[in-house]
Amino acid sequence: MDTIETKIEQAMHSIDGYKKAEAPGSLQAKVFAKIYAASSKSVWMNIASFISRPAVALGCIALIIAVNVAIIFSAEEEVKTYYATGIEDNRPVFDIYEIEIQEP
Amino acid sequence: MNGIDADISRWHAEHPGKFETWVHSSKDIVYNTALGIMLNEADAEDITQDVLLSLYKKAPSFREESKVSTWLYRITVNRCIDVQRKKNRKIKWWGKQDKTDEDEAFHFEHPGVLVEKQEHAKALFAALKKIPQDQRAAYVLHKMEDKSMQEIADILNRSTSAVESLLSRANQGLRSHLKTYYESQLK
Repeated sequence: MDTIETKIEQAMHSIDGYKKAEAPGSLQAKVFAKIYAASSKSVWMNIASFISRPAVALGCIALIIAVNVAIIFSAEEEVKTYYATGIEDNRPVFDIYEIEIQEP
Repeated sequence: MNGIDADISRWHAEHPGKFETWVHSSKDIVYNTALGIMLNEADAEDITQDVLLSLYKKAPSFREESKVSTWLYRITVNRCIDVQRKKNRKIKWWGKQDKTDEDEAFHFEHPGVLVEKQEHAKALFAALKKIPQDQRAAYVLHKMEDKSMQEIADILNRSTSAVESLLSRANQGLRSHLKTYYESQLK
Protein backbone atom coordinates (compact mmCIF):
# COMPACT_ATOMS: atom_id res chain seq x y z
CA MET A 1 0.00 0.00 0.00
CA ASP A 2 1.28 3.43 -0.95
CA THR A 3 2.10 5.80 1.85
CA ILE A 4 0.88 9.41 1.73
CA GLU A 5 4.38 10.59 0.88
CA THR A 6 4.54 8.21 -2.09
CA LYS A 7 1.13 9.39 -3.31
CA ILE A 8 2.21 13.02 -3.05
CA GLU A 9 5.34 12.27 -5.09
CA GLN A 10 3.27 10.41 -7.68
CA ALA A 11 0.86 13.36 -7.92
CA MET A 12 3.71 15.87 -8.18
CA HIS A 13 5.16 13.88 -11.10
CA SER A 14 1.83 13.03 -12.72
CA ILE A 15 2.21 15.69 -15.42
CA ASP A 16 5.79 14.78 -16.30
CA GLY A 17 6.00 13.91 -19.98
CA TYR A 18 2.42 14.90 -20.65
CA LYS A 19 1.32 15.89 -24.15
CA LYS A 20 0.45 19.56 -24.63
CA ALA A 21 -3.20 20.26 -25.34
CA GLU A 22 -4.19 21.48 -28.78
CA ALA A 23 -6.75 24.20 -29.38
CA PRO A 24 -10.08 23.00 -30.81
CA GLY A 25 -10.19 23.04 -34.60
CA SER A 26 -13.08 25.52 -34.69
CA LEU A 27 -11.16 28.11 -32.67
CA GLN A 28 -9.27 29.63 -35.61
CA ALA A 29 -12.51 30.13 -37.57
CA LYS A 30 -14.15 31.72 -34.52
CA VAL A 31 -11.25 34.17 -34.14
CA PHE A 32 -11.41 35.24 -37.79
CA ALA A 33 -15.21 35.60 -37.56
CA LYS A 34 -14.77 37.88 -34.52
CA ILE A 35 -12.14 39.97 -36.32
CA TYR A 36 -14.43 40.35 -39.32
CA ALA A 37 -17.35 41.33 -37.06
CA ALA A 38 -15.18 43.85 -35.17
CA SER A 39 -13.78 45.46 -38.33
CA SER A 40 -17.22 45.81 -39.96
CA LYS A 41 -18.73 47.52 -36.92
CA SER A 42 -19.84 51.12 -37.52
CA VAL A 43 -19.25 53.99 -35.09
CA TRP A 44 -22.91 53.87 -34.01
CA MET A 45 -22.67 50.15 -33.30
CA ASN A 46 -19.61 50.80 -31.16
CA ILE A 47 -21.50 53.51 -29.24
CA ALA A 48 -24.55 51.25 -28.86
CA SER A 49 -22.45 48.36 -27.58
CA PHE A 50 -20.69 50.71 -25.13
CA ILE A 51 -23.99 52.09 -23.77
CA SER A 52 -25.52 48.64 -23.49
CA ARG A 53 -22.73 47.41 -21.24
CA PRO A 54 -24.31 46.61 -17.85
CA ALA A 55 -21.76 48.72 -15.95
CA VAL A 56 -22.40 51.78 -18.15
CA ALA A 57 -26.19 51.37 -18.13
CA LEU A 58 -26.33 50.92 -14.35
CA GLY A 59 -23.94 53.85 -13.88
CA CYS A 60 -26.21 56.13 -15.94
CA ILE A 61 -29.28 55.05 -13.95
CA ALA A 62 -27.43 55.66 -10.66
CA LEU A 63 -26.36 59.12 -11.90
CA ILE A 64 -29.93 60.08 -12.89
CA ILE A 65 -31.27 58.91 -9.50
CA ALA A 66 -28.51 60.83 -7.68
CA VAL A 67 -29.30 64.05 -9.60
CA ASN A 68 -33.02 63.64 -8.81
CA VAL A 69 -32.34 63.06 -5.12
CA ALA A 70 -30.03 66.08 -5.02
CA ILE A 71 -32.69 68.30 -6.64
CA ILE A 72 -35.41 67.07 -4.24
CA PHE A 73 -33.23 67.66 -1.18
CA SER A 74 -32.08 71.09 -2.30
CA ALA A 75 -35.72 72.11 -2.93
CA GLU A 76 -36.70 70.85 0.54
CA GLU A 77 -33.84 72.84 2.04
CA GLU A 78 -35.12 75.99 0.37
CA VAL A 79 -38.63 75.46 1.73
CA LYS A 80 -37.25 74.79 5.24
CA THR A 81 -35.17 77.98 5.14
CA TYR A 82 -38.19 79.96 4.01
CA TYR A 83 -40.34 78.76 6.93
CA ALA A 84 -37.48 78.92 9.45
CA THR A 85 -36.75 82.59 8.82
CA GLY A 86 -40.43 83.52 8.92
CA ILE A 87 -39.79 86.26 6.46
CA GLU A 88 -42.72 86.81 4.24
CA ASP A 89 -42.44 88.37 0.92
CA ASN A 90 -43.96 91.76 1.70
CA ARG A 91 -42.91 93.50 -1.39
CA PRO A 92 -45.69 95.48 -3.01
CA VAL A 93 -47.37 93.86 -5.94
CA PHE A 94 -46.03 96.44 -8.30
CA ASP A 95 -42.45 95.52 -7.27
CA ILE A 96 -43.04 91.85 -7.98
CA TYR A 97 -44.52 92.48 -11.38
CA GLU A 98 -42.18 95.41 -11.99
CA ILE A 99 -45.09 97.66 -12.73
CA GLU A 100 -44.02 101.18 -13.23
CA ILE A 101 -45.82 103.60 -10.98
CA GLN A 102 -47.21 106.26 -13.12
CA GLU A 103 -47.34 109.65 -11.59
CA PRO A 104 -50.80 111.17 -11.95
CA MET B 1 -13.65 53.16 -38.66
CA ASN B 2 -11.43 55.32 -36.43
CA GLY B 3 -7.73 56.12 -36.98
CA ILE B 4 -6.34 53.26 -34.90
CA ASP B 5 -8.61 50.71 -36.59
CA ALA B 6 -7.56 52.08 -39.98
CA ASP B 7 -3.87 51.68 -39.03
CA ILE B 8 -4.49 48.09 -37.95
CA SER B 9 -6.34 47.27 -41.18
CA ARG B 10 -3.57 48.92 -43.24
CA TRP B 11 -0.88 46.92 -41.45
CA HIS B 12 -2.71 43.65 -42.06
CA ALA B 13 -3.24 44.57 -45.72
CA GLU B 14 0.48 45.34 -46.08
CA HIS B 15 1.49 42.05 -44.40
CA PRO B 16 -0.80 39.45 -45.98
CA GLY B 17 -0.85 36.08 -44.27
CA LYS B 18 1.37 37.15 -41.37
CA PHE B 19 -1.38 37.22 -38.77
CA GLU B 20 -2.73 33.88 -40.05
CA THR B 21 0.75 32.39 -39.57
CA TRP B 22 0.95 33.79 -36.05
CA VAL B 23 -2.49 32.41 -35.18
CA HIS B 24 -1.58 29.01 -36.59
CA SER B 25 1.68 28.82 -34.64
CA SER B 26 0.49 30.35 -31.37
CA LYS B 27 -3.08 29.12 -30.81
CA ASP B 28 -1.96 25.85 -29.21
CA ILE B 29 0.60 27.60 -26.97
CA VAL B 30 -2.02 30.07 -25.72
CA TYR B 31 -4.67 27.37 -25.29
CA ASN B 32 -2.38 24.99 -23.39
CA THR B 33 -1.19 27.77 -21.05
CA ALA B 34 -4.73 28.98 -20.41
CA LEU B 35 -5.93 25.42 -19.84
CA GLY B 36 -3.14 24.80 -17.34
CA ILE B 37 -3.97 27.93 -15.36
CA MET B 38 -7.77 27.86 -15.59
CA LEU B 39 -8.22 24.05 -15.59
CA ASN B 40 -11.40 24.55 -17.55
CA GLU B 41 -11.73 23.96 -21.31
CA ALA B 42 -14.45 26.57 -21.96
CA ASP B 43 -12.50 29.31 -20.15
CA ALA B 44 -9.30 28.33 -21.96
CA GLU B 45 -11.05 28.59 -25.33
CA ASP B 46 -12.55 32.01 -24.52
CA ILE B 47 -9.19 33.29 -23.29
CA THR B 48 -7.42 32.01 -26.41
CA GLN B 49 -9.91 33.87 -28.60
CA ASP B 50 -9.45 37.09 -26.61
CA VAL B 51 -5.66 36.82 -26.73
CA LEU B 52 -5.62 36.22 -30.48
CA LEU B 53 -7.94 39.19 -30.99
CA SER B 54 -5.52 41.32 -28.95
CA LEU B 55 -2.69 39.98 -31.12
CA TYR B 56 -4.59 41.16 -34.21
CA LYS B 57 -4.93 44.65 -32.74
CA LYS B 58 -1.36 44.84 -31.43
CA ALA B 59 0.31 43.36 -34.53
CA PRO B 60 1.40 46.74 -36.00
CA SER B 61 3.28 47.63 -32.81
CA PHE B 62 5.55 44.54 -32.86
CA ARG B 63 8.94 45.61 -34.09
CA GLU B 64 10.76 42.44 -33.07
CA GLU B 65 9.24 39.08 -33.95
CA SER B 66 11.02 37.41 -31.01
CA LYS B 67 9.01 39.50 -28.56
CA VAL B 68 5.69 38.13 -29.85
CA SER B 69 5.99 34.84 -27.96
CA THR B 70 6.83 36.53 -24.62
CA TRP B 71 4.03 39.01 -25.18
CA LEU B 72 1.57 36.18 -25.94
CA TYR B 73 2.45 34.34 -22.75
CA ARG B 74 2.22 37.55 -20.69
CA ILE B 75 -1.15 38.56 -22.10
CA THR B 76 -2.46 34.99 -21.63
CA VAL B 77 -1.40 34.90 -17.98
CA ASN B 78 -2.89 38.36 -17.34
CA ARG B 79 -6.14 37.42 -19.06
CA CYS B 80 -6.37 34.23 -16.97
CA ILE B 81 -5.85 36.25 -13.78
CA ASP B 82 -8.59 38.71 -14.87
CA VAL B 83 -11.07 35.93 -15.63
CA GLN B 84 -10.31 34.19 -12.33
CA ARG B 85 -10.73 37.48 -10.45
CA LYS B 86 -14.12 38.05 -12.12
CA LYS B 87 -15.20 34.52 -11.19
CA ASN B 88 -14.13 35.04 -7.56
CA ARG B 89 -16.00 38.37 -7.45
CA LYS B 90 -19.12 36.65 -8.79
CA ILE B 91 -18.90 34.00 -6.05
CA LYS B 92 -18.37 36.75 -3.43
CA TRP B 93 -21.47 38.67 -4.56
CA TRP B 94 -23.80 35.82 -5.51
CA GLY B 95 -22.67 33.25 -2.95
CA LYS B 96 -21.28 29.77 -3.36
CA GLN B 97 -22.42 28.09 -6.55
CA ASP B 98 -23.48 24.45 -6.94
CA LYS B 99 -20.28 23.64 -8.76
CA THR B 100 -17.28 25.55 -7.47
CA ASP B 101 -13.98 26.07 -9.26
CA GLU B 102 -12.31 23.56 -6.97
CA ASP B 103 -14.93 20.90 -7.79
CA GLU B 104 -14.40 21.62 -11.47
CA ALA B 105 -10.65 21.35 -11.06
CA PHE B 106 -11.04 18.01 -9.30
CA HIS B 107 -13.10 16.63 -12.16
CA PHE B 108 -10.83 18.17 -14.77
CA GLU B 109 -9.03 15.71 -17.00
CA HIS B 110 -6.18 17.15 -19.01
CA PRO B 111 -6.26 15.58 -22.48
CA GLY B 112 -2.47 15.19 -22.54
CA VAL B 113 -1.98 13.36 -19.24
CA LEU B 114 -1.36 9.60 -19.46
CA VAL B 115 -4.38 7.51 -18.45
CA GLU B 116 -2.52 5.69 -15.65
CA LYS B 117 -1.54 9.04 -14.13
CA GLN B 118 -4.99 10.68 -14.42
CA GLU B 119 -6.08 9.98 -10.83
CA HIS B 120 -2.98 11.59 -9.32
CA ALA B 121 -3.12 14.39 -11.90
CA LYS B 122 -6.70 15.18 -10.80
CA ALA B 123 -5.48 15.58 -7.21
CA LEU B 124 -2.62 17.77 -8.42
CA PHE B 125 -4.96 20.01 -10.47
CA ALA B 126 -7.32 20.37 -7.51
CA ALA B 127 -4.34 21.43 -5.37
CA LEU B 128 -3.15 23.75 -8.14
CA LYS B 129 -6.49 25.55 -8.03
CA LYS B 130 -5.95 26.29 -4.33
CA ILE B 131 -2.58 28.04 -4.57
CA PRO B 132 -2.30 31.79 -5.35
CA GLN B 133 -2.63 32.82 -9.00
CA ASP B 134 0.93 34.11 -9.47
CA GLN B 135 2.37 30.88 -8.06
CA ARG B 136 0.05 28.84 -10.27
CA ALA B 137 1.07 30.82 -13.36
CA ALA B 138 4.78 30.34 -12.61
CA TYR B 139 4.24 26.60 -11.95
CA VAL B 140 2.30 26.09 -15.20
CA LEU B 141 4.88 28.00 -17.25
CA HIS B 142 7.68 25.94 -15.72
CA LYS B 143 6.15 22.48 -15.58
CA MET B 144 3.69 22.52 -18.48
CA GLU B 145 5.30 24.96 -20.89
CA ASP B 146 8.92 24.02 -20.09
CA LYS B 147 9.98 27.64 -19.70
CA SER B 148 13.30 28.56 -18.12
CA MET B 149 13.55 30.82 -15.05
CA GLN B 150 14.67 33.72 -17.24
CA GLU B 151 11.76 33.26 -19.67
CA ILE B 152 9.26 33.07 -16.80
CA ALA B 153 10.82 36.19 -15.28
CA ASP B 154 10.38 38.03 -18.61
CA ILE B 155 6.79 36.84 -18.96
CA LEU B 156 5.77 37.68 -15.40
CA ASN B 157 7.87 40.85 -15.35
CA ARG B 158 9.78 39.77 -12.24
CA SER B 159 13.35 38.95 -11.33
CA THR B 160 14.62 35.38 -11.63
CA SER B 161 15.04 35.14 -7.86
CA ALA B 162 11.40 36.20 -7.42
CA VAL B 163 10.36 33.45 -9.87
CA GLU B 164 12.45 30.89 -7.97
CA SER B 165 10.73 31.95 -4.78
CA LEU B 166 7.29 31.70 -6.46
CA LEU B 167 8.04 28.18 -7.68
CA SER B 168 9.37 27.09 -4.31
CA ARG B 169 6.23 28.37 -2.56
CA ALA B 170 4.04 26.77 -5.26
CA ASN B 171 5.69 23.38 -4.66
CA GLN B 172 5.30 23.73 -0.89
CA GLY B 173 1.66 24.75 -1.25
CA LEU B 174 0.89 21.90 -3.63
CA ARG B 175 2.51 19.33 -1.32
CA SER B 176 0.58 20.69 1.65
CA HIS B 177 -2.79 20.56 -0.18
CA LEU B 178 -2.04 17.09 -1.53
CA LYS B 179 -1.17 15.87 1.97
CA THR B 180 -4.49 17.19 3.30
CA TYR B 181 -6.33 15.55 0.41
CA TYR B 182 -4.70 12.12 0.76
CA GLU B 183 -5.07 12.19 4.57
CA SER B 184 -8.79 12.95 4.21
CA GLN B 185 -9.09 9.96 1.88
CA LEU B 186 -7.69 7.63 4.53
CA LYS B 187 -10.34 8.63 7.08
